[in-house]
Amino acid sequence: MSIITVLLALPLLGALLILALHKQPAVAKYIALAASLAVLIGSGFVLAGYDPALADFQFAQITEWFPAFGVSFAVGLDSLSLPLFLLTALLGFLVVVYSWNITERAPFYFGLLLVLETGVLGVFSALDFFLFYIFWEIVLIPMFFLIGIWGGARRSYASMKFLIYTHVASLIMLLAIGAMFFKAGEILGHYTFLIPEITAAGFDVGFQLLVFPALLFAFCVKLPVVPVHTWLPDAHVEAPTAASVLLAGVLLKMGGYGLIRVAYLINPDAAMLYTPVVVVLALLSIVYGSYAAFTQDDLKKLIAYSSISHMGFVLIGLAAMNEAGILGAVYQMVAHGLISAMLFMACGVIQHNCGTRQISLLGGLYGKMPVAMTVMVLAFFASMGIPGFMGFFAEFSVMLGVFERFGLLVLLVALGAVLAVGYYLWAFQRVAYGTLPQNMQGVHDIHWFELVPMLVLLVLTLYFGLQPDVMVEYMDGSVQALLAAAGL
Amino acid sequence: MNLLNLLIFLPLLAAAIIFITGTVAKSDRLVKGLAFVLSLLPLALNIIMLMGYKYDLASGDFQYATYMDWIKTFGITYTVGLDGLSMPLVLLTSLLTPLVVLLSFDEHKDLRTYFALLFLLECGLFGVFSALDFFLFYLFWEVVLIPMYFMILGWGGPRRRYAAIKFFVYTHVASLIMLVGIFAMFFAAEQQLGYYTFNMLVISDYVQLPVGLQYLIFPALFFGFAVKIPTVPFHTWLPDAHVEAPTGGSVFLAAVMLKMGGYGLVRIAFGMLPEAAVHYALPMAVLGVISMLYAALLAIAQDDLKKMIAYSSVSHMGLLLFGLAMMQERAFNGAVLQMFAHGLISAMLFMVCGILQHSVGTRRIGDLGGVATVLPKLSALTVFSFFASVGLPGLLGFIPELMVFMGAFSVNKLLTVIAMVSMILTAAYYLWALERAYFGTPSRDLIEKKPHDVQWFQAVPLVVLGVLVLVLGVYPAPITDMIGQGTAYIIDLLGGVR
Amino acid sequence: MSSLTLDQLILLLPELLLLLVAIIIMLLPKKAHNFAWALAAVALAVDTLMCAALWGIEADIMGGAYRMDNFAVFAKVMLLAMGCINIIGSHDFTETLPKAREYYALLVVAMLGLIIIPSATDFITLTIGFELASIATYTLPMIDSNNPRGKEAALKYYLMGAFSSAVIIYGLSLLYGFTGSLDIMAAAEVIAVLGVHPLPALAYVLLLVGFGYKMAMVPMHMWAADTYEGASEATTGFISGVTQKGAFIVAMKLVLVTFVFWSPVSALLLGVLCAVTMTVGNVMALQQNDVKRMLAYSSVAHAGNIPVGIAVGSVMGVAGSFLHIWAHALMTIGAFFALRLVAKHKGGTTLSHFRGLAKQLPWVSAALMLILLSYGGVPPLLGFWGKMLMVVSAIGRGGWYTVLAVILVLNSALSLVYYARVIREMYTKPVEVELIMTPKKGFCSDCWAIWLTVALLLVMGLLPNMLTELASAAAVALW
Repeated sequence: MSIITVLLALPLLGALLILALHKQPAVAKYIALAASLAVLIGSGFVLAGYDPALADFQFAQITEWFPAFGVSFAVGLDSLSLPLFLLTALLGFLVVVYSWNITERAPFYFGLLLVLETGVLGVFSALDFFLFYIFWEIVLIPMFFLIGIWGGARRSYASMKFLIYTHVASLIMLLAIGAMFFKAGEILGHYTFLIPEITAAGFDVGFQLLVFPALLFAFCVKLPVVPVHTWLPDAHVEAPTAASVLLAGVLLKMGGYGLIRVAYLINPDAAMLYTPVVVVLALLSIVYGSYAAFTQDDLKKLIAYSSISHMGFVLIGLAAMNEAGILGAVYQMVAHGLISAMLFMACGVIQHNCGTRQISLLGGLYGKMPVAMTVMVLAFFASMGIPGFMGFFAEFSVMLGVFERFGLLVLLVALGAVLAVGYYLWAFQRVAYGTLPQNMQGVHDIHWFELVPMLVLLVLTLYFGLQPDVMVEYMDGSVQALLAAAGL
Repeated sequence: MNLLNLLIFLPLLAAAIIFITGTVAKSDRLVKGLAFVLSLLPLALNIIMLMGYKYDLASGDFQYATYMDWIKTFGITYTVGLDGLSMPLVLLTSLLTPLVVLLSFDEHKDLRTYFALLFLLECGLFGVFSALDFFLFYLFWEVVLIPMYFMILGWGGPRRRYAAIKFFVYTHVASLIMLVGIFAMFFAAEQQLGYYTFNMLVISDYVQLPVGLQYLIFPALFFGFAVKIPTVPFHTWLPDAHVEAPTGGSVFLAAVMLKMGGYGLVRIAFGMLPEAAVHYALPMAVLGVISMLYAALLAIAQDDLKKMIAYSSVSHMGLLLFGLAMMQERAFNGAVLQMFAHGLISAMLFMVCGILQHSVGTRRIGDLGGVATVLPKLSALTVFSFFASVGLPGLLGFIPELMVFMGAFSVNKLLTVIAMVSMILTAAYYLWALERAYFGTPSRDLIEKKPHDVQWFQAVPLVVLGVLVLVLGVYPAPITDMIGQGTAYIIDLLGGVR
Repeated sequence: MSSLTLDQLILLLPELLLLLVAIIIMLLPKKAHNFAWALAAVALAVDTLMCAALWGIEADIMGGAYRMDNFAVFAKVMLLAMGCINIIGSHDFTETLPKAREYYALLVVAMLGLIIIPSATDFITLTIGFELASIATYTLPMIDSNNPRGKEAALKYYLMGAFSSAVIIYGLSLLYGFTGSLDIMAAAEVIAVLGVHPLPALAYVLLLVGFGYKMAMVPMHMWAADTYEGASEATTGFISGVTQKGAFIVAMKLVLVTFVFWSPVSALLLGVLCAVTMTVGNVMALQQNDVKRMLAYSSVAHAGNIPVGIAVGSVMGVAGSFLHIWAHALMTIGAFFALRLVAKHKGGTTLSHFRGLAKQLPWVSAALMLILLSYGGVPPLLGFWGKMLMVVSAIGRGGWYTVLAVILVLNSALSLVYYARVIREMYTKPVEVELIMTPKKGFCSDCWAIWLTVALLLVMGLLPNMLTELASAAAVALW
């Protein structure tokens, strides 16, 4: 049995234990902490045992599960999934810490966080399309509850919208998976859902052209990409902080991961042919997302729109289909995972302490909560791509790739970066400076359990911003694989 | 350990020390004293480096150089080094830091953050002037923005929020455009070399950028640097930023940060794209002249003393651009010297202006009058610095102007004559301001206020700067020799008249 | 006609046992409610096991009029297991019922009729089995005299049932007139030889319409919503979850055996019916405020989902249909028993009764949530696998089947809207209607049924392989 299987089972076992002990709500968070910490430590072992020089899936386990239908329980990690797997393990743990003072239906809450963690870890490690799809769908359910129960005023609407939007997208993906299953079966002579085998089947261009749009749609909803992004701001606005952190930090990455793993790696020829479409979508996301962020009064919605804009970088990096572009896209996923987690945590701190996130109702908070504001502005800098932070290297790499492939189109990408500076600084100034509202005279600074996760993220963001080679070494395999698939 | 690396990261350490001490100790006196002592360390180090500086090296060779692989993915290296072009600017930075710390002794608000930002700024500026890798250069270039942004935002005037964001966004746009230009060079280099590199030295030594490509890249880089210099019509952020910035911030802004634009222009735009620089020489010269004249005219119209000085900076930076664009050795060196000279002089200008503001409470020329009777010491220093800025012979401000105009006259007589009109305008606005604000009879309000004259911590920086302006104005050889050594290789590339 | 040997009699033991049990239950004294319940439940359980033991046997009994093969055994086990769960859950319902004895007798008789269907080799036997099951259930909706709407429900069910039986018999007579045989296989051969002809085509349409009524396919679904809503929950669960499933077994034989020669056209007709049914069912369900009626329409929608695999006609498709029958039967039985508990404890089943239910009846809510997720096709619950197999098999056949697959997928997404709405009401809204009675401790037959179904949905969902292989083997035996 692979260590990954164990890591997948751990949070689930934690959730079951919480269920069994639901009569003692106070222990739930300790169980959740222990389970997520165990996953984090375990994934540390995975990292230590991973050999970046090998191109294959490592720690792989392939067990027959549903042989009548060519389905197996297959998990493993390669250079594409490993960083995201680690990111999930990290954020899964930090989110539990961050939620330390949740008391409302605590067992249910922490149980859902753990189930969510299993789901996302599963998505990133599944090597079988069926398993992939199952984990993909499992992720929706806890998130639905997290938004629906602990969310804001319009949580019902938001949770339903989230569920329906993403579910439709996954069903479309399912159709495409079914088609690939049969086509691969015809080519290979045996029917299988194993992703590596289907990837190796080598579809003809005509077939790819049919399947790729379905996959593109499905993953673009998740990423999300304008114009199918509308579920995201709603979901974020209503979601509790921890859910937002996971939503932006890892759930969006599922879209990016799927795009590379399924859409691009299996259908590289179609991906090349559809490049103009992808580019238009990506630029739309980058520019529209930034402009929309400008007009927001809700801090969280602003961050949500900035996420859309930043995910546009992922998409256009992929579209560039060169070393720098793909590396940038992959790097951006991890960078955004860490940075957006910080952003939403900062936003949560404001929400919890001041009771509102409306920028127009806030002001002068620097005097009352200097630590929170300092961490927040550092997160803002990280997100807007100031050199030294991880976000910069990602954007730098993406822009390099875009410039190489599309020339001056890079200016539109840069526009996104410029606008980001504008809306972040403007928001920061309105929140941190100016006059403190009368009703916020008594607000206190950040709690330790909120600060610790943010500092951890900040340090990582800086470290990987200044020493990107450390991570690039692990990512390079996926970049080369995609380039090889595209015949470049 | 290479001294230069120590120099670059010493301020970073200082920033951390001062911030932690301030947090723990909560004593303003301790923070001030410690900040001053810490600020002297880089200066001392820099002076040691100056003593070890070799004047006899060939132009284009870098001293105190370090070369290390950093991000291998894109061939990014950690390369730093100093030559005659960058050494004066590094010196300027390390000299101004303790002076600004002294000057800020009357600040009260959140001192530990203020000084930490100052040190961060120093670190960024050292980095910009010594980086020899595009990525590193860009990193420091952007890092500089952050402390300045916070200084304006936290310690600035009433419209500080507007000014801060305008400053950041403007210069950030310029940086990104510059980055695109760098990308173009990067890929052109990769095509010729077959490997990725962001190292400026490798690209300039081993890559022959096609002339057509140079013509395309140059405007991008020029835009990036012109905003920073700033050149009309990209200057609008500067008066806003200056008006709102605290005195320390203004001093750094005018004295050193504007020089980043000039330095980038010389080192990167001219040094790496010489054919394009020659190609675009005339438009640049015209832009320089327009800056000189237009900004001088605006300066005349200002009622805010600080805004007037800000426009005078734009005007003086026009001289820099004009001198560079002449493609003539003397003018070129004059322009580079102008950076150093303006650094010293504008620091004095903003200091006297800041002291006036602090003690009288206003900078509006219309509200002043007869300051000289009330504040004689400050007024004397003001007169000295104004004259230095006007370009009075015997002071440092005169030498670059002389060199630029002498050199330029042999290249383009018409433009030179037009440009020289700015000297008259400069004299006009300074003298007019002196007359209105400092001479005449003081108003009753002013006398009743009993403002304090210059205090010791304000006088020391001004005197230090004044002495330097005077000494170098009389005997500029050390600095001109250094600059001449630094720029020779660029002038060679440009094919300038020696 | 050969005589019935002892060996063959053993093969008929399940049927005989049910007959015997039905008679015994009728003879019991009125007060022996618990005994009747236990007897029926045990009998069905034993019967399920007996049938399961017959797996792998292939035999023609009674001169070929009755056949035991994997298809028959699989279908029988499926129906019997469902019936058994339904009976287990009915205990609390019949406790206060004056006609509890009749209730169990009718259920057992209906089961007898149902398990005849899979074995039938000719249309007469098949119709007899089907009518036996139908007639036994016609009275079920009105068996609870406390339920005011039961009579209306029963009447509608009966009238429509009778009408559809007439249509079926008319269709059969046409088929007989044309082919000269009512043997399912023989008729197929004749049709294959004689080629396209309007008479058997008309017969096919009539039969499809007739059994379409039983399956509650649009536009023959009018009775379903009223009957399902009007009847008591335990009986609705049986009608929708068990009886109705017999019609799908018939449809398999009809479409895939007798009229297989015309499969492009006949399958297309069925496919169109499926698409219309699921769409109409989901759209109607979307508008309901009463969860019971919503589930009634969801049953209609599933009546459109299940035959997709039959229309596709491949082994994988039929296996998918089988899996989906399993899933839908389990979900329906579980859901209606859960509804019964909700109605009992809160006095109604409109959405407002569900608000905050998770705080009032946490375990019922949790079970219902899992059932609803399974309805919506969320993996890894069993409700997902059937749909999945059908979708993939449809894509595998290409052409217009792909369109059918897309429609099925979109409908599945649509259906999740109203299922998720109930979950949302239960978990995210504050309580609106207080409990009218506190849940009693101790034995709760409804809970047993609910948790049995949930457990099966989970286990079969996590380990779908065995069921799928069995279903595939059963599908192979069809031909």
